[in-house]
Amino acid sequence: MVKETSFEELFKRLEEIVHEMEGEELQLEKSLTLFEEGVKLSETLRQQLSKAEQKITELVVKLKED
Amino acid sequence: MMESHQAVTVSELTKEIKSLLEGAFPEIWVEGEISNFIHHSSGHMYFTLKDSESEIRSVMFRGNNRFMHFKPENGMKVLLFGRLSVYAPRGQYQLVANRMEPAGIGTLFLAFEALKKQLSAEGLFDKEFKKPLPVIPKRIGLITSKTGAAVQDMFNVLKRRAPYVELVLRPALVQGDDAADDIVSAITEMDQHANVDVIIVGRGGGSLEDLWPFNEESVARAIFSCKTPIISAVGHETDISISDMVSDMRAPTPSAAAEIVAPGIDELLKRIQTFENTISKHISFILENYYQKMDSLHDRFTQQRPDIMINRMRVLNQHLNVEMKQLIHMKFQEDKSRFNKLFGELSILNPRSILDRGYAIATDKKGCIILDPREVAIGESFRVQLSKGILAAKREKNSETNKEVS
Repeated sequence: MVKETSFEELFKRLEEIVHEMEGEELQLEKSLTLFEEGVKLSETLRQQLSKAEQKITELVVKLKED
Repeated sequence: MMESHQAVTVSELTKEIKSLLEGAFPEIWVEGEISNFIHHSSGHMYFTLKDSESEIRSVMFRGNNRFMHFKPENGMKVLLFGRLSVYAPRGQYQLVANRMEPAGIGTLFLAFEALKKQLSAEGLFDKEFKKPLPVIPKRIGLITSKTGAAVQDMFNVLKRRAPYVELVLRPALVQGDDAADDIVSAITEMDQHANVDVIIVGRGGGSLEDLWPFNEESVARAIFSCKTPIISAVGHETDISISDMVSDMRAPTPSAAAEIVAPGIDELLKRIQTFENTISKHISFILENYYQKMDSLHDRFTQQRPDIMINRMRVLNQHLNVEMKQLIHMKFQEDKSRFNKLFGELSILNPRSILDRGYAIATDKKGCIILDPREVAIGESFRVQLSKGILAAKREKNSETNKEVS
């Protein structure tokens, strides 16, 4: 199966948080923890997305024969 | 088979011929030379395909000849792909061509068809082998010519749309005899060493020969074996390669591949904002809910607490005490005023008050009030009670009327 990228994992976690918070009868502690995590996550994501500038590298694979 | 004594109509016979011919040649490659070529103003192409011994009427409709890479001419050797069709009103049969290729590279087409058939039979194009692409890739591998337009197109699109992705370029030969081998190496290297989330392999438009490496079996198998999801983007919209068919996704052009490989940053930021809004909405809802619950619990609890009960009773007690005192006080006041009133009334009746007004009371020795002068004998002493004291008096002479004595 395809491995998930860090972005995808973060987005997925955010989605989970939203989902969990939508669930019924969540304990107050838990929902506060989730909320904090969600806010932090979205901030992290936003920063990572915004600060990144296109980075291009060239793949050089050294072969033993060379 | 028709019975000889039972005649059929021309229409019935033609219908039978049509059914037989069209059923026998639903798709076929035919090689021959073009003659009597007419490109009609309607866009359709009418011509005859012939060789040294035979000829066959042919047509290529506008919809099929729009994307041809070359211009057919009389005398040109070509390869046609199409079906046989019978035109009943004229009793003619003709070849209806879907594709036409110059005969020189006709062999390539045949090779293409053969490989396509073989790989398809092996299941290399099957949907079950298509790997899902990452939704938000972070590292994207590009395999294409370093100098071609395709790589710049992809750089530009990704820089504009998704500057957050890292690009790893493995320059590769994309045309010529060594291209296929280089592309295979590139795919293997990218898959094993580059740690990318997805690979785009491709090149810009060109002739069929230019694009040929992407129709090679070795490239097809390398794409199939690649563990990283791989997008094939070869040539223009209309070019379909074996690479396209075996890859996890086909993009019509390299630019299009760059568009679909990663979501735009604006869209992602919007999604983050939506997430934030949603959880904020939820947390306020949850908090409000808890506050309400807390209030209600607090009320219930305080009603149950013994110390508060006692306190409340104490307050009640105090309250009652005060009330009682007030009541008593009021009662007392009431009594007092009634007493005063009675006292006043009594005072008026007190004989002393009469004395104060100058009256006097005479009493005999026994203290009995004397109302008639005859009760007192002449010379008998008696007492006169005045307001300020008692006057001792004595009756001197007979007098029938009351006579003040001083």
